[in-house]
Amino acid sequence: MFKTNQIKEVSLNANMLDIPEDKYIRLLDRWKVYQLRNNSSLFRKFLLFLTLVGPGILVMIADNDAGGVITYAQTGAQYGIGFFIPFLILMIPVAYIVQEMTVRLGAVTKRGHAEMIWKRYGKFWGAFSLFDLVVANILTLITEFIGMATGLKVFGVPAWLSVIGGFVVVSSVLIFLKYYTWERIALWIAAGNLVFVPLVILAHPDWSKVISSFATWHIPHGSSFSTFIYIILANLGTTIAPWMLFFQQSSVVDKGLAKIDIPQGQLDTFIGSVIMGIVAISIVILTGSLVFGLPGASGFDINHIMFVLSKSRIGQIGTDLFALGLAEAGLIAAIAITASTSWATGEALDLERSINSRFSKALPFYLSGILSSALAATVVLIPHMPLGLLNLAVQVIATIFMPAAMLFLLMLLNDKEIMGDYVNKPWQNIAAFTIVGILIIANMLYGYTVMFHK
Amino acid sequence: MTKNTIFTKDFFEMEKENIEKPINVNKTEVKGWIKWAFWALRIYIVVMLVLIGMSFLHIK
Repeated sequence: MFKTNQIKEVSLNANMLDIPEDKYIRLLDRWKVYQLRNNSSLFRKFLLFLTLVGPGILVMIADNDAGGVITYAQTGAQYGIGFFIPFLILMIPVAYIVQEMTVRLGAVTKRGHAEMIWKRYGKFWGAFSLFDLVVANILTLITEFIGMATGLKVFGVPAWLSVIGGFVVVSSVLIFLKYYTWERIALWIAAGNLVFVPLVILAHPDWSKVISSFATWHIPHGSSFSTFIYIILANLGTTIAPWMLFFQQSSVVDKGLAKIDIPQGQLDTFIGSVIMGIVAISIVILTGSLVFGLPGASGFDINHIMFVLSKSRIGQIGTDLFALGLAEAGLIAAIAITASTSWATGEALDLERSINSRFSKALPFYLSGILSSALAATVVLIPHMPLGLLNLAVQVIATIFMPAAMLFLLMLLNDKEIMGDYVNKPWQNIAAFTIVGILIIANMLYGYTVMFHK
Repeated sequence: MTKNTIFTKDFFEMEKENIEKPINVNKTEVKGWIKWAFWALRIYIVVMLVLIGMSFLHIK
């Protein structure tokens, strides 16, 4: 947060350089990067790395959102650890390959994903993407607020307080912080996602069983095909979501990452992917060890799973930590998704669009994210809302939107006129097109099973 | 002394990308494989919309 005298100084200096204030604040951040880069000590190099990481780790941890935590917990409870651990390890390179493209696109073009689609492929596809993203984000935010309320309910916090509190935090960090501080605070909140890792150690799982799952990888028997497809695609769907593409690219642009920073951006994305995988696997091992095999475990909802955990080896303290992790997952995802709505709206409509901007100077940018978050929070507070139907709507929109968003990403990454030497290499295209193909088929199957699932 | 005075010429040169306006992006001519990709996308969207319609009838 800037004090009044600092705002005046920023304004004065920005005027002297004849650049907007938000760009000047970005320059101040970049000045730190420049100084660290010009120092050859190992410690400074490490500091440089710490300064440049952010968008990749944030997007990946935010992807382990409340819905993701619930999906992983239910997967472990229903299928144990046999199939899904190797499957989730496979998801790490998938997430990396897709998200890495947004780093290059953002650093080279200095424009967000929404802006690139709008400018390169016209108003129709631009408006189509923006509409889908905003609707999908609002619907996803509903699930995040539900996650916060469910997690904090364990501590006796009423749902209305969790939801309003969550909304206040999400809005405040966006309005009052400048990009770098916003990113650092978000990273600290994201660190809470790691709570699931020590929980697994506390659970004392049978590690030999975990290791042998790689050697004896098989499709679990005893469950209906449609239910299995539903679960596998839900896990895949939580690995890559449309908002992630928009978020990371915009974040790279707002942070001011340049072509020279691409290697660090790639490392940031890689570390984020690995953390995402470790957390997801931890949750599956946790419920796969402590809940799987109990009578009726395949039908347990998250409240039931937490009840079972409280009676298990990890006890009430472990369950409290799990609940805290669930609430944190909802909060960090809400922070990221709200920012992605603001960025995408600002980019598509060519508004001032930086978290470095003053609230009063970039009202439409801030309000688009905050109002969508407020709408989601309000929906959660309305009694008897058909939340199942809302979940269905999230999946349907994501199903239609995801292949489109991916296709635009691939077209842009193969556009020599825009990307120059940074276009996709042949192996990147082979990997990315394979993933897109699988995602399209998976999305269609997922959409089909969600819509016709009994 | 304002902070501007500490910025070096070398720094400004390096940060050109962040100071100057980003590269111009114009609407591309849709041709070749991109034309096919757009048609595939349109068909995909129509198929999914039909599926959604059918699913609602199915629910009823």
